[in-house]
Amino acid sequence: MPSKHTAPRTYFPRTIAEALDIHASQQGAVFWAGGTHLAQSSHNRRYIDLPRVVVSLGRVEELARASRSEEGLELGSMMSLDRLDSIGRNALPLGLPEALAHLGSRPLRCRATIGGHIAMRDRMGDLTGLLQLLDTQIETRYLKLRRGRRKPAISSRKLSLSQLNGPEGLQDGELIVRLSIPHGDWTHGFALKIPVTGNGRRQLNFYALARVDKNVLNQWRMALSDGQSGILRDRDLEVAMAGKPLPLSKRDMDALEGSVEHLTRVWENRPCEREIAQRLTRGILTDIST
Amino acid sequence: MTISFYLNGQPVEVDVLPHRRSTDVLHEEFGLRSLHRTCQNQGCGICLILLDEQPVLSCLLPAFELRDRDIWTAEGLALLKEFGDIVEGFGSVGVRPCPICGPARTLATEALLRRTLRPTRQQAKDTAASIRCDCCSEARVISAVLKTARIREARLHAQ
Repeated sequence: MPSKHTAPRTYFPRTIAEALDIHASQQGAVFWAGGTHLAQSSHNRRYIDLPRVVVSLGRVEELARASRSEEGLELGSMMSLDRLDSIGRNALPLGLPEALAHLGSRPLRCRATIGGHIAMRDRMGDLTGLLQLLDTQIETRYLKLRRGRRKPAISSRKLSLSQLNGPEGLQDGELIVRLSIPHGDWTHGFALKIPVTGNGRRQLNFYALARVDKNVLNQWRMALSDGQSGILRDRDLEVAMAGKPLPLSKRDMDALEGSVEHLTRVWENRPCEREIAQRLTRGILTDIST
Repeated sequence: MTISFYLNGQPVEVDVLPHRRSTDVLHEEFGLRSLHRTCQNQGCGICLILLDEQPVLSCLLPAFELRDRDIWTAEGLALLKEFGDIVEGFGSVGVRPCPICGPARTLATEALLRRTLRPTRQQAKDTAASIRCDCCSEARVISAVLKTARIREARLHAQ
């Protein structure tokens, strides 16, 4: 990070191609979306600690577009969380309006973008767990040198949200351009953010989606997150729960609780979080059953 | 870096470092005394401005982001007739915000009414909660925001 005396160079591209070109030509360049996380974690009183070269994406119109199709919702990565919220409860996937409501104040949501939210590296965005459950796909663009050509051309790839933080995740110079959220036929959606400590430094994000037809749990997905150590999810259990009649038998409920116990073992020093996760799971299954 | 933008309806230009916090730029370079910084950039809301009609926290906004934008502060809003609706709305339910949070509450209310003339109670609550100051109760601010919306709608219909 530069000191307050070394001003960063700033660029304002208007197209994706221009943004990628600038990034490739400037060593240490960083794409800049809303910048809320970076600005909040910058403790210098007068200056925001910025990278040496900033490629501001705020003028790239293509990145701010959103559309709905039969397949689902397509969101440009520069869409602000406030604008996403304003799409309306009926057009958003189940659980997403509730999750957005937990995300800071409106002034923060007006600056924070969906792309920046999922691209944070030092913490997990509060929407990430739910977007994973919804099978969100990410489309990226990057420059790639092709055989027989002097100049790199723009390439694209699609990856799932769970791949984003893994080895196949974002590479240097790769830009998230779009998120695709399939419709899905969920009948129940839950997104809860529970503060574990009074100062809000510890929290538990709980997400669940269910499809219930005629008192049968046809599909079930659940994810837990403490905002730091990744998403906890048991896909085997999700498969095993499909087709179970509601209300769940004691045996099925025990299996579910056992799974939550097993999943949250990474939080061995956090009994509060583990207890809350158990209670929420029980409560939500009871809610779905009635 | 020379940055041109619109400030309270007027085109302006300023030469500042691009990573300077916008609160300071607006406060020190343009003498806008309505902007305060009371927290360590953690979102108290007191430094709120309107950027292209959206409420944003100027302490989290580097100066380069002002470029080509339309910025409004309480000083500019006070010159518009919309300000009268807010004064009337807040006054009619007996809410008198302190000088520290008053400008930000005014702008937050205006931002909400530019989005919708019929805000829900939840939207009014979000607006009230976006400014953290103990000078007036959240419940009364919510009433004030909803009252302002009714006043604004009646005035626009009467025109």
